Amino acid sequence: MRRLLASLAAGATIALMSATGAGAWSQLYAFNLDFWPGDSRFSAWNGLTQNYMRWDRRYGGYPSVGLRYCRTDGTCISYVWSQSPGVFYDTRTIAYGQGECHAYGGNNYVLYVYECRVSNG
Amino acid sequence: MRLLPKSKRWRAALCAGAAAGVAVTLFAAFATAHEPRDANRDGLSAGVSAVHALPVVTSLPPDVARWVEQSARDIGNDPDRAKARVRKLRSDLGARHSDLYAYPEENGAVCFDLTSQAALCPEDANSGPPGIDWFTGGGWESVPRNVVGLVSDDVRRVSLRADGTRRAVPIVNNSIFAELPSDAPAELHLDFRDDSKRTITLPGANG
Repeated sequence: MRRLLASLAAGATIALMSATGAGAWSQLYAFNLDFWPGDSRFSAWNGLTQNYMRWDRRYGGYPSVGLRYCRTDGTCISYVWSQSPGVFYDTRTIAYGQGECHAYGGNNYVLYVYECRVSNG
Repeated sequence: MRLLPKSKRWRAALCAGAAAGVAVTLFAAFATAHEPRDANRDGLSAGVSAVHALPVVTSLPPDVARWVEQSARDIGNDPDRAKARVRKLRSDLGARHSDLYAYPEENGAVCFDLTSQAALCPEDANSGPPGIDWFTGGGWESVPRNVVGLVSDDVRRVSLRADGTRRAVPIVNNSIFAELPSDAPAELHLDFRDDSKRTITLPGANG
């Protein structure tokens, strides 16, 4: 049931996009969600210079989170991983792709995601 | 010569004193036995002295200055105060020749940035795994995967187990850095000053 609610919440997630000065762009692509082991969310497509995730481990344990970019051909670069709750930044770049925020499939605990966001510029 | 007082009141007081002494001794023994080992203390609560001992970087590269400003805003810290606390922990790391910068947050946690790869601002000093805040980087273009971390002052030794071999990872300015030999999962092994140990699993490149 909890997982269903989380999925429904994810489905209802409204992607918030904004264009700031000098052509910079950002998108909030996930917010206020429980991430079960293996869960992911994906951003819209664009040239990207940062992928960002803010999360906590309120349900216990030491879960890991991953960030990466994927290409239009379906391939992705490696995840960068972290195990410390807080704000985690992937500052690699991709000419055109989508950002992913992810809970490691080997986690033993659910984690809570405040937001995942991509940006450029 | 009489060793014990004769009155019942004195004997009762003596017995009560002896009982209290035994209770205190037992309590002390219990408390010592249950004192948390270093490997069970969350996060970097034992301190990261290099972040305070090294000189402040007076002229930040533009990309680092931008990251400090943004990350300080993200965690509710003042960007100008954050920029005045930045230390450079390492230089020219790995194939990407990245530098490692760090600054203490207002709440005692430490933000750190492996330039042009990844960065982390823990929510507080006690929320990460015991003894280390870490992240992996690399894994794109021609840059091999790597792991970087800040270790607390009570960590004596770190080693990396990857692809079936184990090697020591030097601790420099409370930080570690190592390139990973493959996309497979790996392990960090932490030895603490009180001889307790901890193993950290680094997931593989594709989860």
